[in-house]
Amino acid sequence: MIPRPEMAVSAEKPSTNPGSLVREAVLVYLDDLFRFALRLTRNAGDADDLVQECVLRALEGQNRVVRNPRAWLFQTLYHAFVDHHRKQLLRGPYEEELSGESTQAGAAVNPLPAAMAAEDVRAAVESLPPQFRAVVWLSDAEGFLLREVAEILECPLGTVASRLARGRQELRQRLSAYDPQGRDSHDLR
Amino acid sequence: MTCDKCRAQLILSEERGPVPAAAQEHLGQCHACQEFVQDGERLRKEVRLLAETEQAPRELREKIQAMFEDRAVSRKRQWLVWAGAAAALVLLVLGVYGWYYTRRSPTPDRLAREFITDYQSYLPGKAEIVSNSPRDIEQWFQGRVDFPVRVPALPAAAPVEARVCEIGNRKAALVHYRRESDQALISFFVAIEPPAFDQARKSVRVSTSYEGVNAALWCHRGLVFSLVGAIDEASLNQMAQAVRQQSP
Repeated sequence: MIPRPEMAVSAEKPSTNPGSLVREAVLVYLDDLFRFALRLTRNAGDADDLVQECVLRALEGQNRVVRNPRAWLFQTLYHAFVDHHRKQLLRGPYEEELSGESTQAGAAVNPLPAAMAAEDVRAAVESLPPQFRAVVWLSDAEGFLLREVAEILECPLGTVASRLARGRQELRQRLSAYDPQGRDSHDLR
Repeated sequence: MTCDKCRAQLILSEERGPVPAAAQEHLGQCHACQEFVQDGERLRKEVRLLAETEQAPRELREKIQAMFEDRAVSRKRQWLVWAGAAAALVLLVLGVYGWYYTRRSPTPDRLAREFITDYQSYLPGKAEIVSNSPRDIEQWFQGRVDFPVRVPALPAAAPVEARVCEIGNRKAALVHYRRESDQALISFFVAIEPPAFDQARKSVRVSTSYEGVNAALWCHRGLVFSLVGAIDEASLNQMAQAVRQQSP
């Protein structure tokens, strides 16, 4: 089981000021949100804008009852991302990535290298198709439970499990192609 | 079972209980899936390590702080605007209510003043009935006002004419008398008693004077009566007393 980050903020405790709760939650989870935004956009400037958009939306929706502020903030950020990139998500390169680069689940994969640089892991994660990238990141990096990932991305639990399996397989394939001598034997981008 | 399904089942079982038998059977026979499981924990660890190395830029944190502060200031301003608007609305409502209350609920003094004003604006020829017969005048008022009008006998004065007038948005019966000694005009008003008089639950009897015109006003059985004339106060009050004594 993946260790889960502590929930430093809970909306279940009574609060007289929802605005201060959102503020507290955003500041506590700002690093997490920025990382997720960076994984989604693959660009620091866009990630910066996306987090700010997320905060604005969170402030607008601050009066609703939120049981899990961290998951709610991630969901808000993902909504902002989808809204801004809806056209790119629905058509174009992502579909090609899915059909063109997806490996057969049962295909042989080279063993993982003994050592992996953070930059290579980042490049491998960011080369995943966005649906797989979001699931792998939320589950493996941020430690969300599958049902929380399903809530954030608003898709069925089975779909999340399936995407996570495919995402890990793709990630494994990309990293196993990494040459520890310093040359990539597989174009990660 | 396919490798994809088996791996999805394995992932689900990490949180939802035992691995289904079919997935276990596939795992026992599939080398690729066994490697997938073996490499899984290492992959997760590498991804977590990557996450630990990344932080939000300081500039972004400052921007977010500034957003919260701007928002707090604008919310405070917005609150002040709303509070000001609400206070203005309350004042407006109170003002309208006060005006309405004043208009609808005249005080005895104010009503007596209105009778005096009507007296002062007397013009010959405005009368609707000219008669010195109390009975004729009483009959003439029937159906023209919503209350019975009794024309009383005034000491040393006789009725000469009558009409319906409006006093404080109410219909009032007005009978004019002439005093025999000097032909001074005396007005006798009858109208429905304003609700505020009744709510005050105390007897209303007012003597007032304005620009040389005296008025006596009193209430009896839901009606308000007033005698108005440019005569001395004592004579007017004597007449008023006489009228009150004739009341049933």
